[in-house]
Amino acid sequence: MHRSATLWIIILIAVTFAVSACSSGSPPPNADPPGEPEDIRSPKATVQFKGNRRLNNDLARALGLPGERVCTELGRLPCTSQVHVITLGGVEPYRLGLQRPLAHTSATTPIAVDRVVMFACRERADEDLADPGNALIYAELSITGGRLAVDEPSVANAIDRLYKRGLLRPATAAEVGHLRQLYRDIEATDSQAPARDWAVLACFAVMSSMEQLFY
Amino acid sequence: MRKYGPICIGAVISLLFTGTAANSQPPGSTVLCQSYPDSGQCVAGDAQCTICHTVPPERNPFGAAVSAELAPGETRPLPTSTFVAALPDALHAVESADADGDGVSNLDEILAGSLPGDPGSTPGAAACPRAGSNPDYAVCAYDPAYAFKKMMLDFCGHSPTWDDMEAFRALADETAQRQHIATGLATCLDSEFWLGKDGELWRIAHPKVRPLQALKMGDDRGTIPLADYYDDYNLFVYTQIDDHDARDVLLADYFVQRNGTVYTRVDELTGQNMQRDRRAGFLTTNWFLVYNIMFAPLPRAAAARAYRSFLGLDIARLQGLDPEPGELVDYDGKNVTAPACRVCHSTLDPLSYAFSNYNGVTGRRPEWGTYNPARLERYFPDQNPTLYEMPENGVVLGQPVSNLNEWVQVAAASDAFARTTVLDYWRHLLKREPLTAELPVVASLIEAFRGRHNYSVEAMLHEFVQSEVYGAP
Repeated sequence: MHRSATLWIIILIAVTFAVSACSSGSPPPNADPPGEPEDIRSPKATVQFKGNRRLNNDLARALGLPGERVCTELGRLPCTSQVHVITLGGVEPYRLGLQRPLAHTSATTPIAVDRVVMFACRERADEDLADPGNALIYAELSITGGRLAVDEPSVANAIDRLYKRGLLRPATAAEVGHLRQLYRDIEATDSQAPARDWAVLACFAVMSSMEQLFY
Repeated sequence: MRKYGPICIGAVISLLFTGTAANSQPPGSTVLCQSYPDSGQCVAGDAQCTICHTVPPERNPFGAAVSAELAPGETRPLPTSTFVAALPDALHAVESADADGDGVSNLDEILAGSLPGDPGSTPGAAACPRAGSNPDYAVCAYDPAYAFKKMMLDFCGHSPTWDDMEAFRALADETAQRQHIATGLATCLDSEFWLGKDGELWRIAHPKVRPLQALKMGDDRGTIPLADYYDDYNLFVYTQIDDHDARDVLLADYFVQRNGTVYTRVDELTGQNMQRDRRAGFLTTNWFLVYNIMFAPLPRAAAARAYRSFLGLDIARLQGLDPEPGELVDYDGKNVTAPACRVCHSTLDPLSYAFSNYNGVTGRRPEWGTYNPARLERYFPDQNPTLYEMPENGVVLGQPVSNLNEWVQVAAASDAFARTTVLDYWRHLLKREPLTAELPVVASLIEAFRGRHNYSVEAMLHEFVQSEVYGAP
């Protein structure tokens, strides 16, 4: 199987994983056990999409990247301030006359978000794995021949750092378990570098979650 | 004719479908608010035409019910005076009915601010669950941790860090946490994200400035440079920060320069030509006059833009229509006295007279954006003789004014100005209109803005951020 096909399978797994965490079909990790009363919900439910500027800023801070390294297209065009501005809820009043953001996210907003988050996560993962001694998130991982010793405590610590930096809370045991399982699923494909792919996609799953993208 | 064409054409189309333009009675929203001053429609803004109409003058079920009770037996169309006198009784007559059949009486809908003629609009107050709990958020109450993160994102443009949140949670009590939020807000209000170029305040200003890069002078010069709208952004931002008086956006006789995030008031500015005693803040910058007046002898577009941007009244949506009882004069020969046109122009034209001596792009460049009491004679010779009889004195919000300086004094002191300012921020921060249950908060913010906050936007924002509307998830 070609490497690109493998990557798509991995992305599909990651997206399925991410979506399943939010779907009504399976309870979220911290859901009430059956028979317990549900958590009460906000009657307003007025969460907002962060939009292009806040998304870029938060990814930069969470992943320890300079703002301009969060995402570029074609290697040089900034994603959130130039290429995907309108799609990500920005404005362009000077040339296009778009003085207010679109009232709703567009059909291509999820695609643009995915590209931005994936790019940023790839930057973080590659930097951490290239220089483990100075790793920000994926520190002290045991990787041999591209494979990760996924049951070691350092993996849980890395996942916890992802959650704390991205979502401002610790990961639950269930969430750690899900991301460990994600690695096993990736390893079951013919990925040539499952540890690296997992680092990118675990980051992607957390940083593209509703909890991260909305406030 | 081009500039006023759309308004007249719209009215004419309405006339064709309904028989007479007199069916749409502009004072209706005013009378409704006089009859129900506590209505949510009147607290959160000018009462909307859609209370009684679908697309004015077509009536919705509530409008039809009111119409049936309105001076029965009188010949239609009703004279305005009869309409105004009879409307309160007609409204009261249908209070207990439910015109749109949505299960809520007309009176309850009017008071709540929903639309009694639209079954899709109900008070729908966000009710808090009576029982239960949520381990993550203080649903239905001010949640300091939620508010802290939201404040950081709204005003600083990024989330707090994990360490920031831990330090916040470790504070002794909610009082300390609220103080921490206030301190953080004060810092964020000085951030590049909030007040820098293309920051949040610039975003609030975009629809008011309506920039057009091709016409820009100065930095980022366009291909047909006419004026520099960065000066307009700078003036707007200056009036919104550091406890400056927000009314100066209309009253300022100064300009503002920007260096990074520092905005400095100056008396004169290259590219700004207006004589000091004729300045009226944002409404007399070179860009505003050049772009909104251009070559028009009677600057209706400028007046309508000012009315919409700073008083929240959009004449194109039949908002803020307050016809003068006197005769409407067709000074520029545009047939505005035709019944279909009079509906809007009886408000718009008196609103515009005060702009008539302000020059757009007629004459030589140094004369652009200046005040000239002989403007019409100098730049528009050989026109309809009545053009030169056009007075500078007009009417804004029902009050006579003798010139633009008085125009902005009335506007800046009005309820509409304070309401529009507060709602600009409400919509920017919450991305929605106020809910019915939140209308008292809107009213409170407006009152405080005009009162103890002395028109300081930052003080108003501090109060807003500490409110449940902002801080309850």
